[in-house]
Amino acid sequence: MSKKVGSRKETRKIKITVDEVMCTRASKEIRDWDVVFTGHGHPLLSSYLAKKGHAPNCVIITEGGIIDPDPYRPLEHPNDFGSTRGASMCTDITETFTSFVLAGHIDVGYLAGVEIDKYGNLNTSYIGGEHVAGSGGQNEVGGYAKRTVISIRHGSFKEKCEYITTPGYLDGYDSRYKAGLPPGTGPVIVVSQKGVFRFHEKTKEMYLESYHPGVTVEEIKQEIPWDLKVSPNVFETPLPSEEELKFMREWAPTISLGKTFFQTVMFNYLQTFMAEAQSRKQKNSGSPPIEETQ
Amino acid sequence: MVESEAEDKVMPMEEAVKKFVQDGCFLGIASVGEPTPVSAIHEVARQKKRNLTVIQAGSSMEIEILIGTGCTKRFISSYVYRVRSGERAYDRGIRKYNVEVEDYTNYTVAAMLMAGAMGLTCFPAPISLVASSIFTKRSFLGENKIKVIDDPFKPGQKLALIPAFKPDVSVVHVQRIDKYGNAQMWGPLANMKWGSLAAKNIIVSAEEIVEHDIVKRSPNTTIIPGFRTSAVVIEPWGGHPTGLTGYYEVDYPFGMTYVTSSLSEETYNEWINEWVYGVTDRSQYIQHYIEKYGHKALERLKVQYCPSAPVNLGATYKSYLEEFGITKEMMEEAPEFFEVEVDNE
Repeated sequence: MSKKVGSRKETRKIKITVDEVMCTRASKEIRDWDVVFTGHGHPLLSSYLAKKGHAPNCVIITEGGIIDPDPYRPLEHPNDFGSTRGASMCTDITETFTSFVLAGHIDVGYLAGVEIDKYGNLNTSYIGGEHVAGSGGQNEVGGYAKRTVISIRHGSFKEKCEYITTPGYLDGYDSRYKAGLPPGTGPVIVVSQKGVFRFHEKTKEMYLESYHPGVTVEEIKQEIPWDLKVSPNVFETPLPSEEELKFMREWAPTISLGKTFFQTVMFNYLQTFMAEAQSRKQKNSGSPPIEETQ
Repeated sequence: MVESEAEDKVMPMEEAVKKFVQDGCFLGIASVGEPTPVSAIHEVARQKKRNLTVIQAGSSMEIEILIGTGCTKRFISSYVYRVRSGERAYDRGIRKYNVEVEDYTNYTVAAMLMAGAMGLTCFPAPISLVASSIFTKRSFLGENKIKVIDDPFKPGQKLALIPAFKPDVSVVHVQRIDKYGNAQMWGPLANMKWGSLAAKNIIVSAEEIVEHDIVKRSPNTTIIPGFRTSAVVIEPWGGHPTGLTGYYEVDYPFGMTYVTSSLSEETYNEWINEWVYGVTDRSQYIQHYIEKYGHKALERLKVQYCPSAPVNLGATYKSYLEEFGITKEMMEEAPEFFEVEVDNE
C-alpha cells in the first residue's frame, strides 16, 4: 500500500495513528482457529481485528472467563459481559487460568508491557522501585501461551528488566526452558510504537524486523540501550487496509485513534454529564428540591 | 488447530471411536453413575478395543461392559455398583483378562482428573486416604499411587499428594452441543466437566445439535468449549438406560435385565450379543428396544417439561460512537494522526 520508490502510480495521503499501525500488525499473528487469550486496549483490538478479518474462527478468551464473546464495543475489563451479545461459554478466572492457560491450550497470548528487555522479559510492576501496576493476568499467559505477542505502546526498552513480572526468554538461549517453562512457548513478536521485533532462534535475543512508516532504523536504535541487531531483510511495517481502519475506528475509536483522542472524548463526556447536573441545580435553586419520581 | 479438524467434528460414534480410541490407550469415562456415555462405551466394546487403561469416578454397568468384554487391562477405580448376591461379569472379567485395579475414592479420582485438566502435576489428597488401606494396598501405580511429604506450610503436618491424570481420550454424554463442539449440560455435573477436560481428546455425544446462537444465549451452561472437543456425536438416547436431566429417566426394568444377565457367563454373553454386538449403532439399539418392548416402554421414560427461569444476558447494546457521541468530524481531527502516502487505487 505504501509508495514504492520509482513507482509511477498516483499517490494520495491518508491519516492514521501509531495505534492503528501497531494493532493491525499484532493482529496478523493470529491464524484461523487459534485460541487467543486477550486483554484490553491494544490486545483486545488486535484480537477482534483478526476475528472480524482474516481469522473468523479464532476463539477469543478473556481472563474473567468469557469464552468467544461477540462484543458490540470493546470490553473494558476482563469480565465485561455488558459489552457482548453473547459468548460460547462463561466460566471463572480459575478455570480460565487452569484448564485453558496452564493446561497449554492457548495458541496466542497478548500482553502489554511497560518495560521490556533484550530477551523479551516484561516488567509491569516496579519502575525505579516505584510500583506501577502488577502482573494482572500476564505472568501465566506469558508463561504458558504457545505464541506471545507483546505490545509496547508507552513503555521503554531496557537491557535487563530490574523486575521480571512476566518471563520472556530470561537470560536467552534455553534458559526459559531450563527454568521449567513448557517447550514450544514464548514471545514471538514485540510491537512497539516505532517498530516490530522478533527473537533470534538460538540466542533468543530481540532483533528488529520492521520499522513503522515515518520512522528510521537509526531512530529505533537510539532508544534501545543495547546494540540492537537488525534483520538484513528489514522492511517497513505494512499499513492497515481501508477495511481494517474502518473496523477499528467504528468499533474501538478510543483505542484506534490514540490516547489523546480518548482523553478528549472522555472529557467531553464528563462535561456533558456535569452540565446536566449544573442546569438542574440552577433550575431547582430557590425552591425545595423536587424528586422526579412520577 | 488445523482447519479441517475443526470443520469435521460432527461424526458418527463409530468414526469417533475409531479415530480417537486406540488399543492400549488411556480412556476416561466422564460420568459418575449417570448420565453415562453408554453409546460410546458400547461402541468401544463393539470395536473390540484391547488393553485399555480406564479411569472413572463411580462406575456401574459401563465399566462392567469394558471389563466383561475384555477391553480393559488396567482400571483406576473408586466404586463399582454391584448387586449383593453372586459373581458378576465384572468379577469374571477381572480374572479372565488379568485386569489390574487401583483403588481410590470417588472424590480423589475426580480430583486427579481435575488436576490433569488444570495442567497440574499432582493434587493434595485427604489424609483419610493415608490412614486407610487404600494407601497401603497398591497395584500397578505402585509408589506413584499416593505420596506423603512434610507440609511446607504447616510445620509438623503431613501432606498427601495424588498424581494428576490426563487420559488420551474421554467420553461424555450431554444434552446439547453446537457444530463447533461447545457442549452444554445442566442438572448435576458430577465429574462430567473435569473428567472431560482432563483428556487430550474429548468425544462428546449429545441428545441434540443446536445452532451456535442457542449456545450463545446460555453461555453459563457450556461445560466444554468447542476448541477442546475432538468429536461431536449426535446421539439421541445416548445415555440410555441411565437418565439425563430434561430428557429421560433411568430405565430401571431394562437395567434389571442387564444386571440379572450379568450373573452367569451364558446369559451375559446373550445380553451383550443382543444389545452391543447385535446392533451397529445407537439408532439400531433404540429400534431394537422399540421392537422388543414397544414404544410405550420408551415413552414412559420421557421427563415432564420444566423449563428454567429465563435470565437477562442483555448488554446496553451501544457502540462507542453512540455512547460517547463521537462524530465523524471529531474522528477526522484526532490529534495523533499522521499522514502517510499510499497508492491511489
